[in-house]
Amino acid sequence: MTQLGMTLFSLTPQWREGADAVGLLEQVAAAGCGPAVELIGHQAWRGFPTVATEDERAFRGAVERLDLVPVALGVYTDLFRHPGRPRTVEQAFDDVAPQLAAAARLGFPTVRATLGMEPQLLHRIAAEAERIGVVLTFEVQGATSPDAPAVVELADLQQRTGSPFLGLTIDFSLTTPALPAALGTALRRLGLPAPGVRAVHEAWDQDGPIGPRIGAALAVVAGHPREAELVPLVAGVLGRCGRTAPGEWSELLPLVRHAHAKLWDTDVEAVRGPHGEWLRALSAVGYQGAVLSEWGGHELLERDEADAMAVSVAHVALLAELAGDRTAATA
Amino acid sequence: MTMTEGILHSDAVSVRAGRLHLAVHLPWYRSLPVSCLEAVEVTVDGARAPLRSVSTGGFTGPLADAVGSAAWWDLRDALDVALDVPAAFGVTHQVGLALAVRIPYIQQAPGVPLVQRATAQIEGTVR
Repeated sequence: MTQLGMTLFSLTPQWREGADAVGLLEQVAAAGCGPAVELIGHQAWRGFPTVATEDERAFRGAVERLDLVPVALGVYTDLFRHPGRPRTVEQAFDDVAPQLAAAARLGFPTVRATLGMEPQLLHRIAAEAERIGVVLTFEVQGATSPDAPAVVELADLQQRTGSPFLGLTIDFSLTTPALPAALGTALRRLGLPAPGVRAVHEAWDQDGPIGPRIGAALAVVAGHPREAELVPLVAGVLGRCGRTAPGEWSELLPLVRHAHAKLWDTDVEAVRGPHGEWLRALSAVGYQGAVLSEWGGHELLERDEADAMAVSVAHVALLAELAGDRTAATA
Repeated sequence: MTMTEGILHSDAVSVRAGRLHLAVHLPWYRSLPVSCLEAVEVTVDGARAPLRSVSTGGFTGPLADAVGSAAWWDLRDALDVALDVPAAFGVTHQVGLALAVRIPYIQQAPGVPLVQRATAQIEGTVR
């Protein structure tokens, strides 16, 4: 049966204010947002992938004491650590391999990485993951399509190797019926007038591939005094709001090892439809992994406009209701 | 809390050896290599404030040297920006900040990493 829970990425405001892993795990458990938890290595531990023995012991002790289940760790390939010259395959491998080892030491059976790893590096990292017994997943989210080259490459590699240690993290943002209301809030805060906010929505509402739709939205903010901040905001959010249906991913669903139920707004009812669809689609293929609430609204809303934990509580309850898990719904 | 919110706390302005210092927090959700620091521009009372050095995670040096650093800017730590501006305890200044950090794992186009830009203004009393 699917385990529900949350990624502690949702609590980014607390991390940025200096919270520590054990303290946040205690809050998650007290709020009934477990049992499954995901953390991001470079968010949770100073000096990651080096994790001090006492921090490792404290983390393992906390999840055991709190009846939480560490299901996935976010890891990163920082290819552009230096401007203009991406890391070589060897350098990137040396960056990522210790993160996999840290995941294993901390008790995470799975890691989640950013989709699009260069093939030679992908092959090496996949072999390393299998060697140490950690499942390597790549996140498909937003406007990614099932036939995207990076998705096809990954699926081909998994098929060729038959490795149970390679798969996908599926993010429910693949199915986003409407842009989040919180985007409008953020755009207005940056000084985009109402007609501009409307035009950004109209650009996203157009038919066609995401690239030209983002281009049309960026044309709206071109020349604005805060264009430099508006551009990544508009491109980043529109690119993470996809319009594929779960059925379009059916051939790839057997590769799913981990799942994010993404939302942006504080009103969790906004995602009832698509998140219900995704839970049914995963259930239909016998998915046994976790489904984690992931709230990204902290990127758009200020501290006094949203309470990350309150949104997470409401969303985990919604997921439990949709999954038909009454125990978790009332936890 | 948006990424920009909280990059300058109310107690961000301080004085050391008669010079103004500014404590700047990361406009991102995870720690980043110091080498990803692309730009730090500060104004004090409307005038451009020259940078003497930046310091965090064991790195201290001119901004231009950050690119060669292997240190990390931890999410929990402030970047200490030393300014070539005389300062005195208890004086209040209008401080403006424009910050740019490269996000080393997100490409906005093939081979072009995303640069996160954030601006903030505070009225800060030197402590």
